[in-house]
Amino acid sequence: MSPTGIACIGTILGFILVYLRMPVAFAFGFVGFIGIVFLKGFHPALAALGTIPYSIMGTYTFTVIPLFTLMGYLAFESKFAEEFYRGIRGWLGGTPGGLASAVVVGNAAFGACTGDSISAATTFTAMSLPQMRKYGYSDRLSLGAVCAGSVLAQLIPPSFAFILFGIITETSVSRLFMAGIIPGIILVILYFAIIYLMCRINPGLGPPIPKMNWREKMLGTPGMWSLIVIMGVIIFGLYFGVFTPSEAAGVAVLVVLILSLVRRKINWESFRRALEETGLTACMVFFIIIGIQVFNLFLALTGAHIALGNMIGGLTDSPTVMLIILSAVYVILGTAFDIASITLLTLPIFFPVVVNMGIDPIHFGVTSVVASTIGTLSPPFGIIIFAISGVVRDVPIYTIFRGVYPFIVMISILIALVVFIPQLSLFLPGVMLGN
Amino acid sequence: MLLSKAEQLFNSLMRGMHFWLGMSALVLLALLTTIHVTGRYVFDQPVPGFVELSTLLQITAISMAGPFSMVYGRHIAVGFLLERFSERVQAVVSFITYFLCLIFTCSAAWQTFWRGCSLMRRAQTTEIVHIPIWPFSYLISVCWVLFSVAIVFKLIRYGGIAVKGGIQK
Repeated sequence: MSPTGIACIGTILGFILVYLRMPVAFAFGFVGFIGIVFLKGFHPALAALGTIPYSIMGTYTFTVIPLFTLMGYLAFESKFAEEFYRGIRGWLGGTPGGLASAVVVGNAAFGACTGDSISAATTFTAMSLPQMRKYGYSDRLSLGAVCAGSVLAQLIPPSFAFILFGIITETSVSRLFMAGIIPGIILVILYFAIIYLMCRINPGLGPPIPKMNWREKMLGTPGMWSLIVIMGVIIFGLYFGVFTPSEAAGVAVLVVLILSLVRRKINWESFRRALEETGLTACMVFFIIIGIQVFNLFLALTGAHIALGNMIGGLTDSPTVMLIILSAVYVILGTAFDIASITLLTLPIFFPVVVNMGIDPIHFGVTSVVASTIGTLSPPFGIIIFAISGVVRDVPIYTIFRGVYPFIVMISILIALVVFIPQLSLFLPGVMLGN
Repeated sequence: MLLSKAEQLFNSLMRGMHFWLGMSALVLLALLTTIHVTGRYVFDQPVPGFVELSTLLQITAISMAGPFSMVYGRHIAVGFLLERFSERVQAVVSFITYFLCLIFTCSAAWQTFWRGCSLMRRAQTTEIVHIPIWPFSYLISVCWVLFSVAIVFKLIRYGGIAVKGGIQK
């Protein structure tokens, strides 16, 4: 059998094991291991298992993952997101669908602390749904806004997807972080537009809540500062070249901890919970990276990367058409896998093709991340939807899926904008200091 | 009964190891990073071997927290297809898939252990602060062994359901 045939069988086997509920990390790790045994023998395969975990855990750039995760969980336990939401609700709540818009802004701000969509979605569901129900919002709009808003965490720094993209392709993570900001802001505006439009057409979806006077608005505002300070430290620190991403993450952990302690927002129990959750999340990400790296080594040994890359590269000479094709692939893959797995599995194949065609790696990074986010909201995988349906058991899952469809249209518009207007992703990285 | 107690004891040990060893290393990593950045900007004196120390702390944090993530079932798995089948079928399939996981983790444990031995023989250290690397390879090996134990508990549980049907308490 040809090596490419072996790669195909291995990939199919990996997919089958994943869909048989084998943890993604171990499914690909196991198939990769057996594949290397088949191609090169038992000892080279064992050698791969001996070196890959150490080299992944011992990569300095990866320290950004546990540190940003810790920062996110500390901010969560300190209820900074809740305060921010309360503040922004005062400003936006009086408009049609205003509470849903406030959820979107809150998600964008909280995303700037966590980088993880699922944490953002579950946090905002628990925080905002009871109140939206109280004011007569439909569950379809409320949960649609929460789920769709949570994908902003993948665009607003620190995004895990950008961290992985940067490490795998050796692209500057700081520049990738900056590149996600403008598309992230555009997505917030697109979400505002669709929420407003939906509530204009059907006012029952999200009626305006009683308007607050200036005093009430100003009283709610101070609570927003904690999250803004954290965002400022990360974004300006990276923009002005003060920190590397790992340093920004370490410093941000300390800033969150100091803010939480000074404002008496955290106690030993919540600190302990934050640490436990951090360990669980960080390990999940690290073992996915280890498993998929073993699998990628197997694919590299078959030469399938090169064959597939050549095939894709031969499809078109136009960089724009190539980005459209790859975006479609990422949307499809996104419906079956989480963003981390997709990034790790596809980049060794697509990235050389993209670079050869003269597409800017940052531009490709933003396009691929935006495209992959659609899958987290759509069946069958829809990881965010499943996470939310686990929290809100009284709402049928199809109601949540129906709720996110209008937002998926907005993400599709963003993909088109990002593909056709590269400056949306390249402007900020181009002007940032410390390039 | 005895098995259930053993599993409970193992789980609480993993939880303690995760928190006291793994996450202490993570907090140290955050502190070290802040000291490094402050030292660099305020005192013009960065921490020597900062990158090496950070990676070693990261290895400690992840390898000590890893087994608990298996105990807690935090690894991403796609379950919607299998959930359509009976509990018994699910248990049989899970038994097989976790057995494959076990082959992977045992192989990884074995090889990282021998890699640790090899590093110890060569007395290999980090380049700047000369910390021996071998204990960290052993640490990863311990992580895989504990992963394997956590998987064995799952295998026993799923095996029980597959043979007898229904949930084994």
